[in-house]
Amino acid sequence: MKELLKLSVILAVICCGAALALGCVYELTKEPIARQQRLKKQRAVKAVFPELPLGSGTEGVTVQLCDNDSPASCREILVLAAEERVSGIALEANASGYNGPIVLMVGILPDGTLSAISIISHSETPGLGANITQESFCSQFSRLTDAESGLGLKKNGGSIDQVTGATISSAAVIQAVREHVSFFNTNRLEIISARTDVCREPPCP
Amino acid sequence: MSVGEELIRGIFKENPVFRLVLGICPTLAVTTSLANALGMGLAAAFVLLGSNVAISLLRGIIPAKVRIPAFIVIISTFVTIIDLMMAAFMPNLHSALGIFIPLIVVNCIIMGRAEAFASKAPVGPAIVDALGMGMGFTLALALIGSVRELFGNGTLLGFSVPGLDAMPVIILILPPGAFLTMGLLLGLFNFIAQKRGP
Repeated sequence: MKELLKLSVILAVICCGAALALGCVYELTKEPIARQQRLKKQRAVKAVFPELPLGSGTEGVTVQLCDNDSPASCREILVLAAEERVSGIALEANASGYNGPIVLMVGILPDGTLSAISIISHSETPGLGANITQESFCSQFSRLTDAESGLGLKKNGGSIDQVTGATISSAAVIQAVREHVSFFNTNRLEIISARTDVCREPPCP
Repeated sequence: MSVGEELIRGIFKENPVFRLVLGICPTLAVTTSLANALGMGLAAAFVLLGSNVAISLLRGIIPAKVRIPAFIVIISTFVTIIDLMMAAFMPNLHSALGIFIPLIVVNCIIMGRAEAFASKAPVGPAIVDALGMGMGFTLALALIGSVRELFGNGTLLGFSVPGLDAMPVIILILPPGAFLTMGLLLGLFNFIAQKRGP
């Protein structure tokens, strides 16, 4: 009994020391980690609207849109405005890639044109699927006007050249982009009118 | 054994990857590029140094019966520290290494050195042992990582290498390439060891 107590106390003391050390490190790194994540998102938003002057971050307002009151279906949508008009809509999309989730940012202009996409994170095979982050693949999504119907791999009659040797990764990205463009097209008015501080429909003053 | 000998023991004679064949899971998984391999090796070396020092200092206090749980708590503390630090200050490397940072906890090299060395030695030799083994692991990973990145992707540290970038052997950066590279290098190390004699 006495030995059991001794062993438990020693182990508990070691655990307390470990917990204390971890608490300190957590406090120290909490702010930098949050800042890195914000930066990552900001960079992605900038990347999907190359033509918009984005800087201070005040031009974007995040709105939530939910289907049928189910909280799981809620999406966070960043609605950007410039010169008193809605200038762009940034949606974060999740695609299921070959090795795991692919997180990407989809930028859509108010008229439904796909502005651009940007891959935020992925765990695809280096040298194959990982090439979805390359300019040569992503730039094919820039300024697509018929994104809802025309988006697809070339071999399926679409307009996108797949990444060599990575059909699954390429198709996953396309699928996610198409879903989000069609989501925007369906809910266009609701999303744009979420920005109550700007003029919504032309003619504007 | 002198300090110098202790230090270089981990690099060749008892190289954790090529001679002891320990810690193979992260070795095979993250060596797709030299940068990833160096990041993984240095992270593991940091954990090894921290855990060796802590375990050596506490070796008089930790009873033999609960030494394994005590070692695991100490090791996982250092792993979590490096995980948070990398997420905060090296986000790109952190996302490239992904799950393999938390998995340093079960890296047999670290547990092995804790059990075989640090729990029986004073702090000084424990530090030297951790540095030697950490360097050996990092160098082994860097070697495999350079071979795979150079021939599998035609780059080194992300820069294109003329002549090799035209026709990369993609299989080398895929999982089978990890086994091929590792096996061939292991054979080379065995060959050298045999030549040198016991």
